[in-house]
Amino acid sequence: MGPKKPVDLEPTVLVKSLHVGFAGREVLHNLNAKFNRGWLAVVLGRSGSGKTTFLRALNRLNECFPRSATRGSLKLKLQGEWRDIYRNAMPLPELRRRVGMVFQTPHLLPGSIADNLALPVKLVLGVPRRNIASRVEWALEEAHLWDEVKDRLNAPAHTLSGGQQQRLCLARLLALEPEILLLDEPTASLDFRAALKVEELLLSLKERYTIIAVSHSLSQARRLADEALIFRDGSVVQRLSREDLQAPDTLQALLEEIF
Amino acid sequence: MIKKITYLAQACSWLAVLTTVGMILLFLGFLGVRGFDTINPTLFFGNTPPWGAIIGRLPVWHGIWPACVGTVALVLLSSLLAIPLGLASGIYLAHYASGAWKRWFSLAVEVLAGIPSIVMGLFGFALILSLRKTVAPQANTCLLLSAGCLALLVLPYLILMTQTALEALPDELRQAGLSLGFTPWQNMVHVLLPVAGRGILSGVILAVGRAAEDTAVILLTGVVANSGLPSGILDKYEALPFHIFFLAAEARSDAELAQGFGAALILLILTAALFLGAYYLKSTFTKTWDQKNLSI
Amino acid sequence: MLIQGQASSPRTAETVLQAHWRHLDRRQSGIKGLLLGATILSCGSVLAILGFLSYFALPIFSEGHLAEILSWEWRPFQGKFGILPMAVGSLSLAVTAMGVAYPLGLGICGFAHGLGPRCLKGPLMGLINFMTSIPTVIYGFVSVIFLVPLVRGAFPESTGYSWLTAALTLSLMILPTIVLLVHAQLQQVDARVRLASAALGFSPAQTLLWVMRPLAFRGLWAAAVLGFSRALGDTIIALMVAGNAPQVPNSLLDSIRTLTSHIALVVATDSTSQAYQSIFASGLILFGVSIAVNLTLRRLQSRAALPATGRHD
Repeated sequence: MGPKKPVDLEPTVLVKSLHVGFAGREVLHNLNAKFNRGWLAVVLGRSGSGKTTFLRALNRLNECFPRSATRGSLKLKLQGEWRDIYRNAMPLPELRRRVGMVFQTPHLLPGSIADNLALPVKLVLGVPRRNIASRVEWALEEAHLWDEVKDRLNAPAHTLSGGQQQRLCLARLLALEPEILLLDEPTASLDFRAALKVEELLLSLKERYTIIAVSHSLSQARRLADEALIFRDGSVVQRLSREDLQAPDTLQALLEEIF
Repeated sequence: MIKKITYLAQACSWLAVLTTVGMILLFLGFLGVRGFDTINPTLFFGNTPPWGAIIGRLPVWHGIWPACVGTVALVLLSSLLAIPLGLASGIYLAHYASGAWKRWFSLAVEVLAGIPSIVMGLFGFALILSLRKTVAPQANTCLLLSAGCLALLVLPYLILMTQTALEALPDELRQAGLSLGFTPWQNMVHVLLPVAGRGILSGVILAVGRAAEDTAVILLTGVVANSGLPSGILDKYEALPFHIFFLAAEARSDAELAQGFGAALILLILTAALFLGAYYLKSTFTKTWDQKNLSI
Repeated sequence: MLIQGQASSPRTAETVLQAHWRHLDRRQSGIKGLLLGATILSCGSVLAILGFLSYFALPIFSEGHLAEILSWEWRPFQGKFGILPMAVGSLSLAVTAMGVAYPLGLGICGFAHGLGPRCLKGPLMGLINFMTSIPTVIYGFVSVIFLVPLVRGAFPESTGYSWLTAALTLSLMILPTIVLLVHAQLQQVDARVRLASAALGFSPAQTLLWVMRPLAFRGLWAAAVLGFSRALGDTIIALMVAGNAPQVPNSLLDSIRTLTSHIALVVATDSTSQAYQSIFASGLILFGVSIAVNLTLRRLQSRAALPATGRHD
């Protein structure tokens, strides 16, 4: 399904000996990883292995939780420049705009479908009022949602189906021109059909972004991943290439590791 | 044995409920029956032509109009002082404060909420005493002082209601805005406050009701029985609850007693309306986020 | 607003961006500072109140009036300024009002949680909630017109303005506080045990009496403490119907004066500086009691709260 391995990979995320703890209890230990643009990496692991915490470390959302502590180096290449986001920091809002995140369940903003897109575009990007409508349309097109919602942009966002809500969240991110996408089990709350639509969307986006997705499903990882990282007890214990994932004997080992 | 205790408990509970409901109905019925007939223009304006009284041209001597205006002025002024302070403190405590500071601030708010209103009034009285001794020998108890002390009285309710309404919001709502790159303040103004609005508004209304009904604070800080309409915020004024208090002790005729009933019924209608408004808003607020139905 | 588009060189673009970010940061800390200022002002008022009361009560100690204030006689024209009768009055009134209101409150909560028919729970709790909105002065007013003559009629030796009248009226005022607190606690407990005890075959009444009651003891204590403190802090009912004679009561039909109404009475009748000292002493006592009540409630609550366990994965 996916394209052949690109010739030159451009690294955009470098994680070196990352430690994250909450209230003195360490969740991630000495974690090292590298991610590239145009490359879809899937993070697998048991629940409690630190997958979500890892994603939240990349946009510093862990800091919204009480008594979090982060050590180590986490460098992102944003707008062509390497920045250690915990040291040579840009303001949090700016970082979080460029490193967009989609959650397990659709986290909607209050208001209509259009509001969900227009509010961030207006507040975060400062797009003038007259240009907002066209950007909303563009983002909905990107998320393969425009045809489904164009006639009811002013309906409350929660009237959409679960899959549509999740794609709305993705559209909301894309409208903000991010460079890195973090997806935390984006299909966990969806039925199979809706999940496939979201996966299709991700594959169409991966050329242009660095995508890191946490997944709960091995078969999903095999459909999507250019590379899979296996988490256990807060660090990466194994990396698998696309070919490894397809091989039947790794599959058995993986099943035992994860489930 | 167990059956007997159960029956006994049931009998006691019926007794308690019937006693209470009986007392309250008797109480409200008494007030309603005696007060209903008194509600007419004469109750408010006495012998003064209503229009002249309303625009403040003619003084009202035998009506509760000045007391009503005084209460409204008092409530507006104290809201003006308390609401901005209460909302700001509630927001700070809900989303900015943390650790030991948050514990100390919360303790202070709870202590403030527990202070009896007469002590709040005494504080105002002490304030005037010390002003007289120092910078302003002419200082006297007045509308502004009462409003200030009432503001202190309702402040902790405002803070707690704001804080509770904000903290009751689901975490995902907060994360959604922040993960998109909203600044904390943008997230507060454009996402959290609109959703928590009904809960906060119900707190504001309850606080207004409390400011309208309190008697002990104003008793010490400048209310009088006969001043006419308040002419400024540094003047004495009349207020409905005090008027009722005064008539209960000093009514010299049946007509004055009837006016007391009328005033009591008006005040009850006012506070009950505020209460029902707050109750309605609060129930719809809880529904709003309970059902994940986050539209405003 | 964000700086977009091509800047003349990468260096200046970066400088402009940095300046913009600094501006954003300053704005956020400015807002935070404003909110903090408001909070300090709100919370500082507690200290201001305590400070003013203490300052005006200070002469009691510096001029050595403490023994006079803490004595059993209040005759200002003979130079006797004792407030102990008022302290006893406050305490007796609060205790008796609780004695009436607390059993009634528990009965009502029991009724709403299994002892009475389910269909009456809604209207009953609605009525109790509504009672919170009745102004205190109205309780006092109706009591003066209705209850005082009734007591006078039943006991001709009394004027009707008595400890008994005030206690009955006050109990009605504090009742909703007690009911709503116990009700809230029972609701929490109910959510935990209802299914389990229903599965064991308990009737709702049995569940309440033998399963929920022991679990709800903190709510019962909290309601007692808070109801008591509200009774102690009330001014208007005591002032209107308790008679206000500064004496230690011998019977329920005697007239009594509370600390709160003492404050109101002394301020109303412009008096000497020592009389003023006595009201600031009364104010400090009331303040102290409210702090003690608060700390007790906090202890009750903190034991009720489970240790917070956040889940991060």
